[in-house]
Amino acid sequence: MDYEIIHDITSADIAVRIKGDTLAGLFVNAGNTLMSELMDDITMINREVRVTGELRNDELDMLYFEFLNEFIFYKDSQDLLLLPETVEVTKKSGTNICRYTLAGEQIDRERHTFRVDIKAVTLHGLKVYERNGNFIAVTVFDV
Amino acid sequence: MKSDTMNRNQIKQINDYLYEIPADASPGMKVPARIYASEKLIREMDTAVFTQIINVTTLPGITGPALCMPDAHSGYGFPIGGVAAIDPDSGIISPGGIGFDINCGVRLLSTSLTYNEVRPRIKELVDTLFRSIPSGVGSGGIVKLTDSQFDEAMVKGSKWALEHGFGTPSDCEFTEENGMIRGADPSAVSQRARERGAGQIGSLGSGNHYLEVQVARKGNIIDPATAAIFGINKDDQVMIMIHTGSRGFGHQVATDYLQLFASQQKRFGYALPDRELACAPFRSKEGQDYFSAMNCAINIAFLNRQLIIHKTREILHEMFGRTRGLTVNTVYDVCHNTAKLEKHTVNGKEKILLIHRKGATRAFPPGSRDIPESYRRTGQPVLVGGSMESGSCIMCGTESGSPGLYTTVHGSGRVMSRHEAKRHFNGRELQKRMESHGILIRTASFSGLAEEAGGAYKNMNDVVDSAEKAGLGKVVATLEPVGNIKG
Repeated sequence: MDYEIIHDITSADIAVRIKGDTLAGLFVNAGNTLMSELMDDITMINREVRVTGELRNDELDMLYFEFLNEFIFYKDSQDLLLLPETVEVTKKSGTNICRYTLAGEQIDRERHTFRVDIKAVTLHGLKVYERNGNFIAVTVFDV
Repeated sequence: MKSDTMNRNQIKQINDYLYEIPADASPGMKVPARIYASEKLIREMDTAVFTQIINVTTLPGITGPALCMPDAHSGYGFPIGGVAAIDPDSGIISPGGIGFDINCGVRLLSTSLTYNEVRPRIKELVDTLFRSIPSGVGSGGIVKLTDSQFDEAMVKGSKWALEHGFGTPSDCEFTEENGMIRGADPSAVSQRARERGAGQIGSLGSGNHYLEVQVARKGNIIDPATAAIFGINKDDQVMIMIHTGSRGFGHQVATDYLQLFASQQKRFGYALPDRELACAPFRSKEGQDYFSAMNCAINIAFLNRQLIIHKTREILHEMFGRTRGLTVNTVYDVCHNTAKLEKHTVNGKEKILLIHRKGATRAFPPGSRDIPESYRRTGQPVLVGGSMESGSCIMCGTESGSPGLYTTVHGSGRVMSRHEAKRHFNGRELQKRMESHGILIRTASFSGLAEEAGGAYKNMNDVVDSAEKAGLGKVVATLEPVGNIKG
């Protein structure tokens, strides 16, 4: 998994550093990270339902924030456990655009076991940046 | 301020239980930061707590020192256990000073049962509570509200439950704000928040949320007269404590406004050190909209706890209804994560201030008009949830709490991060060990259980002792856990 836990940011919540080869790859890894911290085993999610969407934001980190919030929203509002399937991140006239397809299934508490619920993505220490050709994000999840 | 630039040498000791970071310790500080803690507790606090409370001192309109309670630990935006008084006319409101789980709080029930009466059926009781009260991810809620019912519930809180047969008038009487805070306006709430909340009302959630069966042992009653007024009047009396909040609804309200405020910081002329502190002028349209939506979430949390205690009461009556004169009463219901307009004395003058409390409990003193009449001699009950191994504590508000904005601790406070706790503890082994110590645990997540092990938290006695010695309330009794259900 392309992420590591950061221990000196928060004791009550979960801080992570996530890497990706590309910006879209970073977004994919971030979605998988959120679900991996939520669940014991994300391979137990069958890709039966697909959700597509488009997000726009002038700030790249806020686009990332909105993207991660989609996973939480569908989990709570429709009991859907979703993983990133395809993600495209582009920029047009100064606006960052994320087009995504997420795939997954309804929560089945017999098959899906959970670590701790992730209830929000915070802006505390939120960073999305490029270093040596890699894209990196620092994120704190509220649990 | 970056987390690595905070120097502990900047913290000055004022007395045995109060420390201060002076206002000149870091650029941008408008007021000092004050930390209530013993020498041991302040040593145990992670450095990020001090960085985060320094950041709070930079908020526009902050009046008097930014405060940290003895159970403070690092969070995001404000530290958990952080408190700030803001002038509502010149200052701001910040979701980061309240937390995502708006009105996360604690309800305590007293029963007329003794542990001798319950012990033979404790396993059945804990299993029934675990089966009947939704907990963990994807559990659903006790009720599913229609859109119009949800609108009504956002305004009425616990009163909505009462009107629909889920409670008694005294449940509302013994809840902060009588379970229905004013100023809730559903038009300030997004469709997304409604969708996240609709299916979760009447559910515990996960993380550090729980329902606990507790026993008030005679030897653990420190102030019998006050305890009796709070309804604790027999040896080995069975009590029930619930810790939960506004669930996904409150989180979405906070997320919506955090995002909005973050996009408006330049327009408002703010340059805060942490984006999680994004805020709006309290008197602006944005600030008022958030205040109205946050009040909706406060009411939904009251309703959530009310539905859970009503279900608990039904279970107790089904199981122990033959016990003569069985009663199950709300002792009190306290909020942890709120911003409320309150009257306080600052520099000898009474002022209306917007008190942000994040992971901190209001502790109004004897005589306060804002607490139930029957508690005006004792002060407000304060319900301090300890770890599931250490037990919990009841305190009461005292007049000496004025410099601390009549606020005190809310729990033990973590000393170990969640991942560190999982390296030290195994959920299934912990469950067995606790059972051998007479504490039955049922959980939706063994991984989550390991994160909540007693060893991940500060010693509760140290925390409440510091709070009491700092003048932030008085210890009334401690409660011993015998059963716990966790999400």
